[in-house]
Amino acid sequence: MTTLPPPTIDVSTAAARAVAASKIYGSGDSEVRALDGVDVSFEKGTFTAIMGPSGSGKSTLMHCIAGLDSLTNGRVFIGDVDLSTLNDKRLTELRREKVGFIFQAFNLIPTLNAEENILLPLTLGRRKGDRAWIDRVIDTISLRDRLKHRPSELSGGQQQRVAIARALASQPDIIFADEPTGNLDSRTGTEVLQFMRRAVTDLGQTIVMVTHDAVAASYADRIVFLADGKVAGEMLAPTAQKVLDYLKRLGD
Amino acid sequence: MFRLAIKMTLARTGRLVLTSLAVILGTAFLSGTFVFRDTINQTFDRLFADVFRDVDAYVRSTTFLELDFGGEQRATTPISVLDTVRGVEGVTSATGDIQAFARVIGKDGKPLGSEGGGPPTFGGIASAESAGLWSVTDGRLPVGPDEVMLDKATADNGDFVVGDKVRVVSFAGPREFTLVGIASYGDIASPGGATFALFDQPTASEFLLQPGYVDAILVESDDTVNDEELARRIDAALSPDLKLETLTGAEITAEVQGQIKDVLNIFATFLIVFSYIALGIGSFVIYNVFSITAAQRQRENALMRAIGASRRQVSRSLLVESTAMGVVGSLIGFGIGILLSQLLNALLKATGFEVPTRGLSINTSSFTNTMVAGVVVTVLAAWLPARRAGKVPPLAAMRDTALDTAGNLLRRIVIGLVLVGLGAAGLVASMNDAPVQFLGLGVLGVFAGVLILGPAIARPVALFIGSPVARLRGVSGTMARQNAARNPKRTSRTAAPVLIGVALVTAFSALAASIRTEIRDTFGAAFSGDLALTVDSQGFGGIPLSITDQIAGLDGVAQATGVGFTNVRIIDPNEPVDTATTDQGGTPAGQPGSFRGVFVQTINPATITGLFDLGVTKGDLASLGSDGIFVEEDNALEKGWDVGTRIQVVRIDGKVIDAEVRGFVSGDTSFANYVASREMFADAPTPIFDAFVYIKAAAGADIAEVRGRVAAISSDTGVGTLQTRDEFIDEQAAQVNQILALIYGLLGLSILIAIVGIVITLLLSVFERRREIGLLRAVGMTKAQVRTTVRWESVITSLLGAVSGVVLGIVMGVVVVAALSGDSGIGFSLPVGSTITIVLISFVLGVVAAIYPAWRATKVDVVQAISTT
Repeated sequence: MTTLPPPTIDVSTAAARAVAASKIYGSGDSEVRALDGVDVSFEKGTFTAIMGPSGSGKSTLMHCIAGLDSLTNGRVFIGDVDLSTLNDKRLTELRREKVGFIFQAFNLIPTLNAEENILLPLTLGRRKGDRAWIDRVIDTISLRDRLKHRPSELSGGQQQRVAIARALASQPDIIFADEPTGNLDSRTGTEVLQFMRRAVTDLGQTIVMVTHDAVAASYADRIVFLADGKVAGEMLAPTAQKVLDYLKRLGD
Repeated sequence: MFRLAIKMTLARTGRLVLTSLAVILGTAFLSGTFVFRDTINQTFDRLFADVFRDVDAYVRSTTFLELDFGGEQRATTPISVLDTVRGVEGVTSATGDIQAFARVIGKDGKPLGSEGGGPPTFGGIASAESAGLWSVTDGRLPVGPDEVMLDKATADNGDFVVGDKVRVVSFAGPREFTLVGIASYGDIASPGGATFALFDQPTASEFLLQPGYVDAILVESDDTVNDEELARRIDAALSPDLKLETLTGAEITAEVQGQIKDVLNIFATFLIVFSYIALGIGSFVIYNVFSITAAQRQRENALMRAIGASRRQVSRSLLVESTAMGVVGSLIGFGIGILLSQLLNALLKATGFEVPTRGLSINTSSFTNTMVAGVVVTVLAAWLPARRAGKVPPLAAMRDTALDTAGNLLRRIVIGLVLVGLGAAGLVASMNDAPVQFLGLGVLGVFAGVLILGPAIARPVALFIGSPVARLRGVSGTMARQNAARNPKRTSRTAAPVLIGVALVTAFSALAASIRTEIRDTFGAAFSGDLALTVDSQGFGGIPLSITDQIAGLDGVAQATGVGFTNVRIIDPNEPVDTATTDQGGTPAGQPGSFRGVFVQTINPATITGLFDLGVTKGDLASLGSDGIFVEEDNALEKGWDVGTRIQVVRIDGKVIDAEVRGFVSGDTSFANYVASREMFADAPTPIFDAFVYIKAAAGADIAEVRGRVAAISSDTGVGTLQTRDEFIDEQAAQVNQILALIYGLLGLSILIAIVGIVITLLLSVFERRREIGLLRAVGMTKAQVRTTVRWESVITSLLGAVSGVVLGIVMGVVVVAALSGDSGIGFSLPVGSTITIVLISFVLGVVAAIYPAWRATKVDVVQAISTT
């Protein structure tokens, strides 16, 4: 299983995709190719993990696809929209409506309570949102009794669940998660991963997660491995053991 | 450690510049006023050195009165002395000198030069011998009773050319002259914006002073003898009965330079005091900035502690940083101050006080004072934050930066309230005849208390002020409101400069409004006439008494009375003065101040009754005569005087009048502590003037018609301003506004510093919250929404200061007015208009202060902000 056939990119079912994406920092001798011609697609309703060693470009890839950062070459699409054609205002609106985020730490605004944090992308866009959906999300993450609490009054796991709820609240086309369990102990980490799994399986969401952790990655439907800014391989239906074995071989 | 501290300081130049801004601003005003003062002093030094260049000896009377603000009024010298002086061996020439009141009337009938508060209007002598002062640029010197010469600035302003008829008003009334010459003063058109009308000596003496008299005699030597010897020879030649003295040219130059400096220094000291206040307010900003940066660097400091730095080392590195900042900031501030002094000059020029500056003068003492004040204030402001930084536990290196808290709220509230209470008690005490220091301590106590209370009240008040913002501006407003309330210490410190400025302005406005109402009421009750002729010449000149008498005789005028002021010396029988020295006149050694002049109000007892109520509480004004005096009641009681007490009144010409206290006045509507009849001064060589003429029209007369007739001999010829009863009362009440305007202007400084404080704090907050802003941008906050958030946080902070300042100001106003009303019955009037204006200004201030920080907030790099862990 060292090589897999190249993924077929089905435009109609891709929530987001990158085409020949390159990101180059500096120039000349100090040139660093953080991304070097990456082609990748994320299908709707799937849970994808991106793995790779430090400096492999996985965070850069995520930032670029999410419209937080811009590419040097190549193109990135959310749905059918080419992000390079958007100005800052349109890009901000696209993030607000089509993209959700879950970060490793510092996910919430300290001055807003849990509910206000969850509704933030909606209120920023002056939208009401689908109340039934939001209630379902809140129940799924079991936080109804904590809605009026400030982030400082919540545990790490609870904060991360609020962050997941915020990412889900506006029913985005795709959610990006950057090491969402990196700051959590293994029990709360497992809890958070289960919620993300359910968001995909039960609620039909699309999640792309960057992680170091083989166990976390094993919750995904598919893993994309990056090395030196290039796609190094893929794995479908992963288990923790299979991932560890693969990484070991990749390192050899 | 020291080198390390310097290195760490230099590594953060951006923040260094930001913090220094507060230091720069505070010291710039200070150095600006210093340099301004130095430059003007030097200018006048040079000017008078020029003026007296050809004067080798100066003969004048020894009889004089010291006046307030460093001036003096001296008796006149008979012109007959000129011949004596000319006969002294070594004298080439001698000429009379006069500096008296004269006002040039423009072609439109309005006096040239500003009336009241502006530069003085002089009359004097122009002769070939006094050519050192004046150089004729056009025409020739005046000769005979019909000719006049004007200074170039006045001639230009009045559009006069040689050959024109010019009307000039002196104590003797208006008179028309022919302009025969135009002269400039040294190399400038007119010194300090003053106007000059110059005549030959006999005309000047007769028209401006007293026939046969001059103010002093200027002597030029033939250079065969030194000035000291010349002065000795002249003194020996003068009869001792004349009570004259001779000074050398150097002595009179130094004396006049000193006098002008005294006057200027009062103004400069006033400016400097406000500059120090501004620097004090600036110290809040400095303190705030250090507190914030110290909190933001908590992890860094904790790391230093963890790897082995002692508390003192951590504290000291911050103090080193603050010293560097104080030095750099003060240096830059001093430089900017030099520019400011030029601006101040231009400002004075624009308002009519043309100050002849020659070059720029920077004293080393101004430089050292600015540097010392700047550095000391900076280091002191950094002291507490530095100590706190040293106390950070090494473990904090592993934690996230904690939000600061208001600490022990209860303790804060108790200490704050106690200080406010003590301060208020001090205020009340000072109003009830306690020493004036109580006022200062009281104000200080109130402010200190409020500032300690600040963090305790900042959160609820900010949330309250912010609630409409949160409702109107959606999530941006909600976040602005929460941000303003999240660091109560920081918010209250940022709002403090606004609070202090607004509180002072409100208190002054409240006091002024109350005084205005009071003046309106008392004047309204005291003045029962229809018209008033006024001249505001600050005790220099006024309405000639002859005009007052002419008005009284006009058709349709039932009654007219004049009120004026002059200076006298009062000798209290209970405090005997050495008569031997008083006879001599000069200030006796070891008895400074015993020749201090006091204001006496001169009235015409025959006409005042029934027209203006002076508030007589004892006695009858009709009994004044030429040797009676009325005294303000409290003043009399304090001195132990009663009706019948004999005192001595010494006039400017040195004549001692044995006078008797014949009654008391309440002091509410009299402008001086002493009231005398104008008869007392009828035979004085120096004329007295009226400052006000009150006029009552005859029953059934048409007021407009009467007004026209009065104007024809007064205001239309340049004498005074004619007003109706209502206009007059309004103007009296509005005089408070002039002082108020000056105070507003100077408090504007503190508002400027307050803006800078808000800008700096917002910038630091934006820097501190860059991850948060990055997160918000990531989840879809637009740049406009980010700007809105920062803007409203700024407005809430600014309004927090303004609202608490208004409340505090009104409370102080009420306390002060209530304490004052103990004896004079002033009611408190709330200045509604200015209070609303203040709050609106603070709103705008908040918006303006947010512009740059808001822009910076939109420049936060989203990826970088959310990637930092």
